[in-house]
Amino acid sequence: MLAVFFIIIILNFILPRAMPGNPASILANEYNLPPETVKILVSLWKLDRPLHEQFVAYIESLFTGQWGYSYKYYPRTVYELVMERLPWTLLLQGVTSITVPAFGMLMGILAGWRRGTKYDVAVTISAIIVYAIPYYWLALMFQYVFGYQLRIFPIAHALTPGASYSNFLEYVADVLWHLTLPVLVVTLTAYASYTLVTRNSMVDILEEDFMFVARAKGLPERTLMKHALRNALLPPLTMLAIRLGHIVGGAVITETVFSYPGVGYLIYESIMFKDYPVLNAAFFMLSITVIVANFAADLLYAVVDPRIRYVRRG
Amino acid sequence: MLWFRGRHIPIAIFIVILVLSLTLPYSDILVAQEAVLKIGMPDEIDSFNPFTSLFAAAGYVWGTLYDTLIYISANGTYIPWLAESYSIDERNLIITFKLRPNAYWHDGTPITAEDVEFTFNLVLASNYSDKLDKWGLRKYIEYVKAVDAKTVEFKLKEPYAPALFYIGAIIYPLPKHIWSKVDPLTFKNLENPVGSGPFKFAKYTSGVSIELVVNDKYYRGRPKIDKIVVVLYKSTDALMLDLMAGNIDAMTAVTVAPELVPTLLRDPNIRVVELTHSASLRWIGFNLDKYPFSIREFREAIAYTVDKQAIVNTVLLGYGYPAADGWIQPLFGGWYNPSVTYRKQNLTKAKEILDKLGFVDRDGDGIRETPNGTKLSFSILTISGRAEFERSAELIAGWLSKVGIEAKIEAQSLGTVDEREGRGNFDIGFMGMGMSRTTEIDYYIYERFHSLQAPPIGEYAGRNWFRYRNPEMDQLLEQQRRTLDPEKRREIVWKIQEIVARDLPALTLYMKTSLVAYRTDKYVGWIESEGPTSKLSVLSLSLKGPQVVTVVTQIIQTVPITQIREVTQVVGGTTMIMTQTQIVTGTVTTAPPGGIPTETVVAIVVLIVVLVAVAFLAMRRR
Repeated sequence: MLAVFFIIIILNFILPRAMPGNPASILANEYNLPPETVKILVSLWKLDRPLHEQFVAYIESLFTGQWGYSYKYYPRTVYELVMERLPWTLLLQGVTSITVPAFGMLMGILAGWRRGTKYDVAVTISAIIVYAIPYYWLALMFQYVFGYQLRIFPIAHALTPGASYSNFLEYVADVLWHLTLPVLVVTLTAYASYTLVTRNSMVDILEEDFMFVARAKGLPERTLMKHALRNALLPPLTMLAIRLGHIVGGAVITETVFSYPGVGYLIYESIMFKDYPVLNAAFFMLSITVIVANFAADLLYAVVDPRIRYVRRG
Repeated sequence: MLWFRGRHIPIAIFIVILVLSLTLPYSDILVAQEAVLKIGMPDEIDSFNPFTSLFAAAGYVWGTLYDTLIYISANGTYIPWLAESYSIDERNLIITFKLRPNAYWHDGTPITAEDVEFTFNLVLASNYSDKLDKWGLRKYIEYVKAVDAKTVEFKLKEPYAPALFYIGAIIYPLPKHIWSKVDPLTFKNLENPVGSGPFKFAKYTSGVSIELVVNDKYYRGRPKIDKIVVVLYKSTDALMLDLMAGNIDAMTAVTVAPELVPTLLRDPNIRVVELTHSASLRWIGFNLDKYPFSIREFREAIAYTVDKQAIVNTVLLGYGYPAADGWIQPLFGGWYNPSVTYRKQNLTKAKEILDKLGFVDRDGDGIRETPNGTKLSFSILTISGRAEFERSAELIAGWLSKVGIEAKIEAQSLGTVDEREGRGNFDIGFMGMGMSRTTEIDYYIYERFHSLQAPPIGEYAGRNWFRYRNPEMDQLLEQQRRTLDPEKRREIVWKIQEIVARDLPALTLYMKTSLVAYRTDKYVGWIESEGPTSKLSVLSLSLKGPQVVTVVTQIIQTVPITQIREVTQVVGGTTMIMTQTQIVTGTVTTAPPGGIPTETVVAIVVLIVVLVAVAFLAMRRR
């Protein structure tokens, strides 16, 4: 794991810099800056220094202090930018990491359990259709219908712009009110893959010999379900672990469409503008959570999968 | 039946959210008494440091928080603003500003000449100068000096026409008692910035909004609105929906897509206006260091293949106009040379020129060859993800193929395009930039056409990436900088346009007009000619009074609404730029009858239901 960590740190430095284009002149182009400014920015960001010096500065900024200054948001530090957005990302991603698998797996389990019935067909077909709907289209439609036509949910943002709150409860209510549409749209467009995977593995398990034996023994439905679930939930749990690994990466499209302040859009911007310090910090953070999430998933298998046990040797 | 109990949880969560959301409208009622202007903007905030901040939204906010010595109105008039008056001596070397006696910083400290001196010295003569002097002012300004508490004097090294623009309208005087204690390069100024403008800073919520409250002691009189909320967006679609829903009153730093205009105009409370002072120029630049683009006649032949009006009609849906060949556009009023127009499409003429150059098709494949046998096959480099650019480039490629020139379109990321153009690794480059009448004309021409900005291929060129080198042009560019007499300077600028139109280092294509929309149901006093969200417009806004007040008795009182359309221009001292009659006039398009988008929504829902039903039936038959 340590080796992976070091490779990540090195790749993290090389990859963004391997992309063509100079951050200063990209900004100059976007904001119509005179050539004199480009020269100033290059020296300000130390882009004129040799690569090995930049690498030392990169390592230093990674382990000490604030991860350096952002180029695009200069003079704000990367740490400041990330910390402003991270709570919103964790909230949105955290909530959808519960709603999406929960809803998806529930539908999948029910469909798999009643395989071959009308209910199964309805769930499967609707899941396939919903899976094919482009996310941003559905989001726009929801904004249009619920935000503009019916006016029951806000069109954008995480808070009401310019609102003042008399107590904390009002603030929480405002946050939840703004969270509803993004969560609803993410859930609707992302649940389908969980449903399909869960249903298929459920159907497979139910056809297994041991289930046949269990049924023949005359075990109650409830116990049968328990046996089936324990085995059928492994694939969707793997999907969940992968999803959790990306939790700090944010959701670029959701954040863009709903103007939700999050890390995803920051990363997207930093790629567009070759904002190296932000990119480095973001991918550093992302790779750590992915490693941790995978590790956690491995541990989780031991709990869920009856075939895997961590045995203390010796 | 384990799962039935679980099914209630999402429903319960939904109900809780619904109930909680009912408590929200109360917060709106609390602020309903105030005149709160909400302006939507597509950006985030980098900082409120006028030296380092680049973002449009941040710029709008610190442009409202701080005042400049001079304000340039949309028609190019210089209005003394924080300065009561200004004067220039007869040798054109000393500019003197007299500050307003009743001007105070937001924290109550008087604004003095010392503050102005301090701010300019940061740029001109401090440890930070080489990082802060983005405009190269040190080359032209000898010193800045506070003569007395309210008078400040600038001494130039030589006559420099753009000086008044940079000193008066670009650099924001900052409070010395705050900025002398900080590092101006890394000072973010996000917490309680102290400014001089009509509105004071109140609150910044990252990714959501910036709130500004009225400055009661503003030296030009208290604005009639109490609060401005600048609302930040990441997507223009959400911004437009919020405008339609009435959640914001106006928009800035973003334009309305032409396709949206009919939808917006269906709402009687929304007005769509064309900004008269700013528009975006699009052009194709040629790599002049590369054969055959080095031949002037060849470039002219390409110019004759392009139908600028057709691009405007198809790509911009008519919201634009063909650009004049001389780079400077009618937008700039008197600076524009009316005798420089544009070459209309003439394919026969283009073919004639190509034939005369000896570029003929010898192998009969429909593509011409140069006399030494290489095919006239080029690439048009454009930026990916910008549909407008790509569509225009495709039209141009189509016309070129009609005269026997093959052109492929290469769409690459902004970074790649910028790098390739800068280093001269391209044939034809498609580019665009915003142009504003309120910006000094020198900004658009000097670095664009000066040979000093054209290093050899391989080295990065910022603006003159066509690598246009013409000693006559260099001389004219220098000369216009030194000429302060507006009439004489105008003659030089006119000459520059003639040369650009003749030499065609780049072929200008069209000007894309800037459409903006705002709501009329809450405020009156919008000044459309200045731009609805400009400082002048915002200062003239007031809450719409009740149109009809019914009293319990039989008397019906009507309160008239005064709609201010004219700008009262305070012109003290001498005005540098002559006020010309507007050549470009703002037009407001009338609402055409159009279809209702709800029908589309219904149609899509019906389609989905039908699809599901069909699929369901098909599965059952099995």
